[in-house]
Amino acid sequence: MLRFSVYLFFICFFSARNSHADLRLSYWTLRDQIEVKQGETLKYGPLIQTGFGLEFTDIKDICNWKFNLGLLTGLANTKVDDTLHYESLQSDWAGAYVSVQQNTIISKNTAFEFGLRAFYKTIQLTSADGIQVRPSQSADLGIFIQPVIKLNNQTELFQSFGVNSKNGNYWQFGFGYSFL
Amino acid sequence: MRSLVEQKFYFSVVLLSVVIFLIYNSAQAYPEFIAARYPRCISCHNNGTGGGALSDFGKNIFKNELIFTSSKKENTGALNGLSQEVENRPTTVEANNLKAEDVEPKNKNPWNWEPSFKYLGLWKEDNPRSNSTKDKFYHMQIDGNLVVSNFDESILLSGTWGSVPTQEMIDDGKYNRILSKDYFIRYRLDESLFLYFGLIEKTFGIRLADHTIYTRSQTGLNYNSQEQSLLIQSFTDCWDWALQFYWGNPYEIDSLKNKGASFTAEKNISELNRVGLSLLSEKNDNLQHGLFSMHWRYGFEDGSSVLLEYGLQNSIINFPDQNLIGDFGFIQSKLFLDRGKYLKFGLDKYNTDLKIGGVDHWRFLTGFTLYPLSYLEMGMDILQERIVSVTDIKDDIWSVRGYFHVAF
Repeated sequence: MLRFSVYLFFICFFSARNSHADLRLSYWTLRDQIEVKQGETLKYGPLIQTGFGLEFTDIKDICNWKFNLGLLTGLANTKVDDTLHYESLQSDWAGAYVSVQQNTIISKNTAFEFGLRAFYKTIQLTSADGIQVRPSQSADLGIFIQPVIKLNNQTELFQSFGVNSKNGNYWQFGFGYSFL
Repeated sequence: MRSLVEQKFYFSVVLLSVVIFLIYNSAQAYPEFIAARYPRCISCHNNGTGGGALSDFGKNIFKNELIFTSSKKENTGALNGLSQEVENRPTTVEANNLKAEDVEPKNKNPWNWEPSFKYLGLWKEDNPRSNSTKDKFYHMQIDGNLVVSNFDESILLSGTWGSVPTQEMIDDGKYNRILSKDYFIRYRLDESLFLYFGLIEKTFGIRLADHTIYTRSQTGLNYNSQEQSLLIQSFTDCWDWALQFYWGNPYEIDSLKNKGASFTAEKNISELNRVGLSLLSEKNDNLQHGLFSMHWRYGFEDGSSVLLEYGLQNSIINFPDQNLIGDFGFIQSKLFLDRGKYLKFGLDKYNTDLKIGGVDHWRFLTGFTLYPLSYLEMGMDILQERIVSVTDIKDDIWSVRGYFHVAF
């Protein structure tokens, strides 16, 4: 996952540089579900992920739809099943997403963005006794809405709310910087 | 794997870096009413540190400037919804520093009497559309106020009587505990220096009207936290500051009376851009309490605004013996849609003890605020509270609330 993240970062970064993109740094909190398979048994549990994200906006701009690429990483808290010794674990997680979005300008300084996101996330679960077990991956689709306040021509603040196909939801808050 | 404490530390560093970055890269300028070019509480309140009864000027704004208008002509020229004639008013510094001879007496009497009234009603439903749903209506504020001032308001006496229910009374829906909530005498020593003496709310940080926000509710700075105080406040073109010494609320039992001091300073970077810091230290027989925070208030020419505050809290509790260091903060953006109509987005958090990882409480808010009529503010919010802990996973708490606020 680390190697994948590094590759994606460089692809995004250079794509962004070449297309006058925005760079966005944000803090995320996501609520989701985790699946853990032990033998033939599939267990589910609540999952809360928090962490930082880096997003490259405006990679391409086709018919007023903007395409974004994002990377996420942070800590996850899970509680799958007491019998699996996954009681209240804290684990590393990482993720990536692509999104398409439309912008609506409200005023000189404010705008709304809304669109679709496809996530891929992986969590390195660790058992209660500190032994790492295999990573758990998930992919899901989501929709989001985010108000944006432009502080000046180059910097902006934004706050995002989204829901995904696994009945999870997330909040994101951050600021963006334009290379333009 | 990084610990939760490390993660929070990194988050705090990044947050502060962002604030510093934005401050030094932003030439535009306003918190909520900083966006209406009223950066100071004293523009609208008799208490220059905010809260409490409205001044004549504040009532006038509530009556005329904030409300909807159907006139397109008035709207087009209005800056962030304010009527055009207001654009020609003196700056707030000038308005705050009027000399005695500049002020036209309101009437022939040497003393002016001004009664006023405030009501804030709030309906809240937790976990809507679930088995555990519950809703309740709260009378958050029922206050009557009387102000007596001399003709140039260099001497002003203010007294507020209102409902101060205990938690048990709120649970039972009883609000008939009427007390004197605040009272003070205000002297204007010179054009920019004020002295207050009496029962006053503590000065600290950004005083949002929403007292359920963690920076108020989890720090001992809620609606009914007034203290007997001596407060000195100064306004200059570059800096505003207030220093308050206090020695307890007369309605508390002796062992819970807080003795301490608080200080707030705010630098005026531009008309619509201000940064500040606050300090508070107090103790009673049961605990020692310290607060430190930094804040930023930023307004836009279109009437939108951003408020940000982040701080640390230290509580040394005697029984049981505990030394807690927590943090708290919020960001709130208010987007101007049209005159009297705003969209609101907020994020606030607190943690009781960073040392042991503690429990992070996050609250996300989306809502709107309307000023449909003179003297009336109303709004609705959707709130989501998320608790992040290393020891437990709790369900999110969703709430919907509506409120209306009348003051005249």
